[in-house]
Amino acid sequence: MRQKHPNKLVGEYLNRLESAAAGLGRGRRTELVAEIREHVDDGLREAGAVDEVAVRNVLERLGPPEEIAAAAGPPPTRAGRLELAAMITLALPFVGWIIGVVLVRIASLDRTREGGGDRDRLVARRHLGSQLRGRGPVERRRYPRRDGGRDAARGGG
Amino acid sequence: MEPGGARNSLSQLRRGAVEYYVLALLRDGERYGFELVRKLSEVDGLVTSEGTIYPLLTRLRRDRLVTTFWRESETGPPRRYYQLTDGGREALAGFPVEWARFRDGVDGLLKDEEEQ
Repeated sequence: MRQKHPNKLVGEYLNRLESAAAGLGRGRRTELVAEIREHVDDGLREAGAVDEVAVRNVLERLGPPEEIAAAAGPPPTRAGRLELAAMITLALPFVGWIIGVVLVRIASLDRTREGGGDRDRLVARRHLGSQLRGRGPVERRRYPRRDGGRDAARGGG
Repeated sequence: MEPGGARNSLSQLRRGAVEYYVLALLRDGERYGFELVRKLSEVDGLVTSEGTIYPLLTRLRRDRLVTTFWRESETGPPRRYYQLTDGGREALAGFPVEWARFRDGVDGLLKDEEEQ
């Protein structure tokens, strides 16, 4: 967001601060810029003038925007971001699993209420049970070598 | 020590002290940001860039040592005021003892160096 201020110098200063603080969260950045803006306006009110000298004095005392942003905390490092992404990715399967369990539970409650067949409930429960024990209903099938079949097709042509 | 390391650790020391100075300034009542910052920069060598006080105030608020509230101003728009919490008061009360221990330790060390 471009920072606007009746005074051009102050506007530029706030924009520099905003870019320097790009690494902070949006909430923190907005707050920091608002606080500095309030400070500048207070300073100009105290000086009783909005001439260039007054503005420059207030901004000079505040210091470089980059220094203020740096004091607010270092931007998140690449390693930090990767760690966060890894944590989310690792947590996802569990979240999915929990949602699945809840859905199966709701479905089975609904069936009870609807008076649905025992067979469906049994299937759902059995499926959940095998998930809980960590074995899915895995089917292994060995496919026969297909060479014979292809030979047969060629022979037919 | 790497180049600039000594200067850096001095500014760390200063930053640690400023936190307590802010708490001390709020002991007798709430103050708004500009007022606080100007008071702080009256102390020689404590604050070089006034703007860096605001991130510090945010940290104090996050640590629940101060709270903020808005109050109407007679001369302009409402102002954000800072005031001590009970936790802040406690931290401030414990500081003189810690500070004296730290100061005596450093003084003792420097005196030993001088005598050698």
